[in-house]
Amino acid sequence: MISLEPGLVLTALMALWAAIALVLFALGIVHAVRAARERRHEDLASRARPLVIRFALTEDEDPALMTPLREARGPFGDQVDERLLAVLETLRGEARGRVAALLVERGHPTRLRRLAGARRSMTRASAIRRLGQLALPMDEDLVLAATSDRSPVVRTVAVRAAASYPSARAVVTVLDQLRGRGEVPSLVVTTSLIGQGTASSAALGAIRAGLDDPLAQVRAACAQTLGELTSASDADRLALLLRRDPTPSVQFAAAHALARVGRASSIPALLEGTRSPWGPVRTHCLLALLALPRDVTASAITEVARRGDALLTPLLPPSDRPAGSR
Amino acid sequence: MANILVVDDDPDIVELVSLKLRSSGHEVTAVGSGEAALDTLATRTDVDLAVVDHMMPGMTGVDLVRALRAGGSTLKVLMLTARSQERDLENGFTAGVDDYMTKPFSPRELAARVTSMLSRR
Repeated sequence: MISLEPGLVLTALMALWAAIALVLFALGIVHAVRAARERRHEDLASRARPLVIRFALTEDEDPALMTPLREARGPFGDQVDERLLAVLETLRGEARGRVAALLVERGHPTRLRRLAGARRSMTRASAIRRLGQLALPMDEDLVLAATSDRSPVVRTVAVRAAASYPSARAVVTVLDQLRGRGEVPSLVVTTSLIGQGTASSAALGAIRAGLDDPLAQVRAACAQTLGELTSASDADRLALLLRRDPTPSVQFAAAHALARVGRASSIPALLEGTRSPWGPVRTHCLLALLALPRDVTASAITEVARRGDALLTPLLPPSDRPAGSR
Repeated sequence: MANILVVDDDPDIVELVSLKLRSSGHEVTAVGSGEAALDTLATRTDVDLAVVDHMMPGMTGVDLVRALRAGGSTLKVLMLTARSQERDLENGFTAGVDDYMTKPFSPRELAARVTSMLSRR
């Protein structure tokens, strides 16, 4: 049996208290350093912000404003770049052009290109995201190449950044993500495609061409994108896809898109879709029919009601439901 | 000249919008949240128009407009949003938003829209 001498217990307790005090002291130091860093960051931001905003809004070059912005270096220079990038996201038109030109003049894109090859994936991702914000034509290759980076984080950021380059080549590169390891979320792919399809007809053409792709995921993503772009001129393409595509997920995407862009000529395909053996396709075809004006869908809705499909009947307006199920 | 309330949690956008509107001759008050905007509007009756961000932590821009309309306010509201989808616009207009601007926006267009909304008093 071990006997505990009072002196030994006291020494152990004192050592324990000393260790706790040391840890608390260290935590206090860390906290103080972090708070000081945040205060310094906020101080620099509040000095840089008015200069950057005044510059963005001033149409005539004012040397009193331009010189400090051009010559800012060190932590303040970094903060000037941060603020320029932040307002770049908010602006379009001439003001955006002025801000982008100043970032180029300050050598920011050159630094970003260097950082895009850094060892740390977060550094590469941050550089690619910012290059996407700047959207300089000369960086398209670099941004698109980053969609095959070894890190899924960088690939995801690069797919987002590719939205700034609305070209057929960029659409094909983004769609290639769906053929790979599947680590880039499909929502990111679709959002990028929406950005590209909104900005250029060449990109929109490449998205439409994707409806004939051999891979179902690509066809579904393209159908979903066309629905989000709400272009009624795609209604017939989507109706054809709904009718002919053998894959339920593609039929579902086409039906979902038709709920947004459908028109009277989509009704036969949608009515056919309400007989699909796959529930989600049937329900979305009915929802797409219900989204169209009542005067063109009346007979189709009546036919769906007559069938008494247990999945679809509750979705019908009460006045259309068969007697007994209202 | 009009009194304009700018409601946004992003200091860069607050500064940008405020400076542009001040340079167009308006008096600008800025707050960083929907809740702060409600407090301001509870005590000030001289605000002619509010420029409100759609996405804010806590009370969103649409929540703010709903609360204003529920209280009988007829204040003109221009909403800034990063969302351009039909559904979001519809929700906003249903809640009582008078006009929308989608980010990114042109500061000149912002000033022109504000002038146009104020002229419809």
